[in-house]
Amino acid sequence: MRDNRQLRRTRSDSDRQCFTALYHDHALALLGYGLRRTSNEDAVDMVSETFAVAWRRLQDVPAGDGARPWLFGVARNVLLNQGRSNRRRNALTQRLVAAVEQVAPDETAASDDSLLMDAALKRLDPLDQELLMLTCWEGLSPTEVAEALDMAAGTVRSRLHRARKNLRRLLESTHAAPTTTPGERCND
Amino acid sequence: MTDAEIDRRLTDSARVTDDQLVQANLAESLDDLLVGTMALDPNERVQPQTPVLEKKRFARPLLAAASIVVILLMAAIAVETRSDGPDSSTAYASELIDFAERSPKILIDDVSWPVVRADETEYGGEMSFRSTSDGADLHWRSETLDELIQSRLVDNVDLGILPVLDTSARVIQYRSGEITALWEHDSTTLEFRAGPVDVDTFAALLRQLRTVDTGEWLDAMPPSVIDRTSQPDAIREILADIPVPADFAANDLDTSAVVSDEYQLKARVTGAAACAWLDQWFTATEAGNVPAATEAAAMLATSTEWTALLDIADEGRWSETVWQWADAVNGGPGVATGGGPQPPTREMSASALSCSDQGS
Repeated sequence: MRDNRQLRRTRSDSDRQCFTALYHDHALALLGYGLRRTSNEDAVDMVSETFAVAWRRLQDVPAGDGARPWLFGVARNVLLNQGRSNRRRNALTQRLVAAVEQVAPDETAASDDSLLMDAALKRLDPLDQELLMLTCWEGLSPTEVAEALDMAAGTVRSRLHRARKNLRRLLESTHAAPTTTPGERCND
Repeated sequence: MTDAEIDRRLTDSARVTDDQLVQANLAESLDDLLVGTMALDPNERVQPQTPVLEKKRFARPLLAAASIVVILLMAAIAVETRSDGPDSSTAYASELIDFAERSPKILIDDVSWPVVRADETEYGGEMSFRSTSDGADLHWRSETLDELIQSRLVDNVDLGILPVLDTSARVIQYRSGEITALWEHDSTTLEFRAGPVDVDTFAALLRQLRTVDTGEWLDAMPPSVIDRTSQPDAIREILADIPVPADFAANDLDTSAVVSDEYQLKARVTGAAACAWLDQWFTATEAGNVPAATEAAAMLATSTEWTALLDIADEGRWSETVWQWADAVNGGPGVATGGGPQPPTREMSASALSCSDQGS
């Protein structure tokens, strides 16, 4: 009979170093991802839960560049499944929530143009919203977006193309003129 | 507005930037969380993080399939109907026949590449095909073939000529790996784009394109196209449990030209109702008309029970936004902005709920 104790996961010093590096490389980016989508409390909960999943499934986290889209994929699913009734707040997350409260909101995000953009985004298909936000806000490449969302890279590119077109149509159908200067396209 | 401008505006709209987080003093509390996480038992059961949204999206085709049957039956029985020759087994509403007749009736001759959308645009129209792993688009455009070829050749690679249907297409590869084919068809410039893909696969896909008659083309259309003719009914259904002011013009809500998605239609209709009540609230508040302001606030408070908002609450942030405004005019903390909660104003409602679009 197989000894069930052999199935139990343990964490070596090497695992701990690896996880610490993973956390330092990506925790802030994941926190930003959460804060741009949800409340401070839910964003911190998401970061906590995402790294708890990574800690328990360390063997599944891809090495190198693959770790980032993997973590964003977990983070997105955590947010989608985040029930307001079953938050697991603890002292550690509360401390981070308090620290995040000190982050000054971006003044440009309160501009009419940003509100207009927010309203237009909300009227897009939810998956198209996410594709645009992962590309422009999180700086993920289409390939990384594809890995995070478990989609084909070609599908991501064609949907991004369509999403931009729909967003443009919604923005141009509103009364306000764009107030920004031309820039580079996000990451594709 | 170029793609770059769209992206710039979107990037600028982020509530919090990574630079702000880097500058904030978060290191100590983040390190605490790291230590706390590594103290967890790695054998504790992990809840599977299944994407809720994807589950719902996969479930949609079943609902859509059911609705298309109803809609097609209605189209066959109640609406002015036309058939299109002996091959057409289904009768379609005249608007759809007209749409088909304005469109190039081309499909990919492979059931694993269904049409997933079709739309008319300011420059012509487009339809999208999707296999299990890849996508392709067919565009029909107002530019001449020469104009389009010249614009596509800028910064891209000319792959020469490939056969398509009964003619030949100029084929160009983008740096991203996508490939596009351009040709003329019935005096219309067509562009078929797919990828990233290798040339042989793209050539095979081009060979699978075929022209069909109007009936077969409409048979291949997804519900998002067929549903357009049922928008007045769908709007009435959405409004069934939504109170609206006496002068609310439901007939002005037909958005067939710009909306083809159920989420967007529900967002537009509920937005119009919310905007109408907000308009009454602002007007009454400014005039000191307490009964009218109270009525508007009370009607907005019922939005938490509007079926359409409840239906789409998990699919995006629209419902939450409407409810936030309902709270704001009922003594709530205000409307969330990048600068914190603010008292509701007409200008903010125009931006947040597109109220200027809703005719209020």
